[in-house]
Amino acid sequence: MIALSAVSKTYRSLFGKQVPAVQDVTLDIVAGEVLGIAGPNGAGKSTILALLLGYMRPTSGHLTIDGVDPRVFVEREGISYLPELMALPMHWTAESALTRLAVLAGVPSNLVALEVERVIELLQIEEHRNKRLKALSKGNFQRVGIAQALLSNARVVVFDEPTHGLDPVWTLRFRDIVAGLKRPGRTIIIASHSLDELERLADRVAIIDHGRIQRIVSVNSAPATGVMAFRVRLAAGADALAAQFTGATVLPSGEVEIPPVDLPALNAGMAAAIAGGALIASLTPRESALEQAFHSAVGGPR
Amino acid sequence: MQQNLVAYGRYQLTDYLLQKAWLPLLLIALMAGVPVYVAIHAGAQNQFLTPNGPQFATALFNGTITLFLPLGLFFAVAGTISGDRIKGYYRFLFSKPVNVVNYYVQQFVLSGVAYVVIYAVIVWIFGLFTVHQSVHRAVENALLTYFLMGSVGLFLGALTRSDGVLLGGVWALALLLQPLAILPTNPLPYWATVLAKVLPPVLKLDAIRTQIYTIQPVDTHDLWIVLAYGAVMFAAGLIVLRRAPLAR
Repeated sequence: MIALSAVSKTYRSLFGKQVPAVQDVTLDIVAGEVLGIAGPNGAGKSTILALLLGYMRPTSGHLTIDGVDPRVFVEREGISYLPELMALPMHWTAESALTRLAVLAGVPSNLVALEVERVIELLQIEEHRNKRLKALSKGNFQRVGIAQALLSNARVVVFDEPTHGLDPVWTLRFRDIVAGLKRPGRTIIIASHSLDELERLADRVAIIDHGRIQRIVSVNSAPATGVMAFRVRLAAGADALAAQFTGATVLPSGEVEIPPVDLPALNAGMAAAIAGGALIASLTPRESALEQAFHSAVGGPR
Repeated sequence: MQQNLVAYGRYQLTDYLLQKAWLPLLLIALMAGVPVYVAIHAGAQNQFLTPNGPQFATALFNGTITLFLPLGLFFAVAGTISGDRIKGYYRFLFSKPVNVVNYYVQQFVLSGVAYVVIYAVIVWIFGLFTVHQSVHRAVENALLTYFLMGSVGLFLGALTRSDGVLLGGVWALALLLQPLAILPTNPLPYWATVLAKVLPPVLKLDAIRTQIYTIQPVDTHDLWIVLAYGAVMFAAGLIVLRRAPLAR
């Protein structure tokens, strides 16, 4: 569906200074897939999305959607797109923005009002429909942005930082919306800082740093083995559990932090602790497989 | 043309009328309306019905109503394309199934039609209260002005982020240099003479407009130059729109 072949993009200033934003990215995204793009600030995520939408052209390499140039594809079919930078004329009301964009998206004129009503209900912005965009909170404005992206039945959906500004309720709701968008012929791309979000939504996550794909993680088949740190909540026997692992600490909350161990060592230690009277309530990896992959690919916070 | 884009034309038209046309319209209404009101009501007699009425009306027309041509045009085209790029609206507009060139051509045409119609209505209303003015000659002048300088504005908007300043600057520079460049004792240095020739032929446009207003034969050579310059700028603008990246 979407093919990037050795795609690079270098920004050039008027004075000749060159800044490589994307370097030698090769990636195939198939129809029906949800691809996450993760990376630190300035990693090149938004540049890749701008290339995908045909807002700029690669400096080198090839990028096609359905076998054609992205701009040709967008002009033919459109892409459901939520940009990270939400910019619409702020004197528009929420409803008028959605109506205009529905018309532009090619919704048949007799269905525009119905379609606008559908997304207003879906994103629950009824009470804000007549407010000017400048009067909306960040979260409500973001919901208008998501709503406009859902106006068409596009085969390609691109969300750039979709839950930015959303409250926890709407962050969860967004996951349901994406789940509802998934279908065999549709490709969904989500760029996000939230690894937790990508882990829940995406089939694969491309980890990008310094403009390059550092790693592609298949989320559903992420390895559960390997050395990981864990946090254990207990009803009893915290000290007995901590005694089984060198470097384990009992937190003031009564939870036990187990330093990185492999699974055989973890299970052996747990068995010994349970035999010694520990009552386990929950066991959680301190980092998910995606977080582990991310940190090993790009390092710690910058 | 795509049906969705045609349907979107009503929003482009209303945006032009509500955001761009009203200010020059208000300025012209005030500039022309006040003296017309005074001329009709302040004295013992309506000044436009006196023997000097037609000359007075013509002077007032030239000093006020015709200002809509540059002012209205500037507001119509400046910032239309560059504004969408600078403010980032293009991300929403052009993720939809819309051809960028068609979108701005439609915007250009609709704004142009509205600009010409507004000017025709202003001229007609002015004629109602003063002395009859030819609406069809006003339409011809507005069309020529829009085609030449509107096309220059389209090109500059497609190419740069500062099209408003550049359009005003180019227009002013042309008005300054071109009358000097045609003097028998041309005082300009060589480069300025060349520049005067390269700039939009506003002096020829003014001459044609005067010929149209005064019902003289139009200099067809000058007319072709004006039309050709407008056409080249229009085509160059479309090429830039087609080839240059939206995100820059």
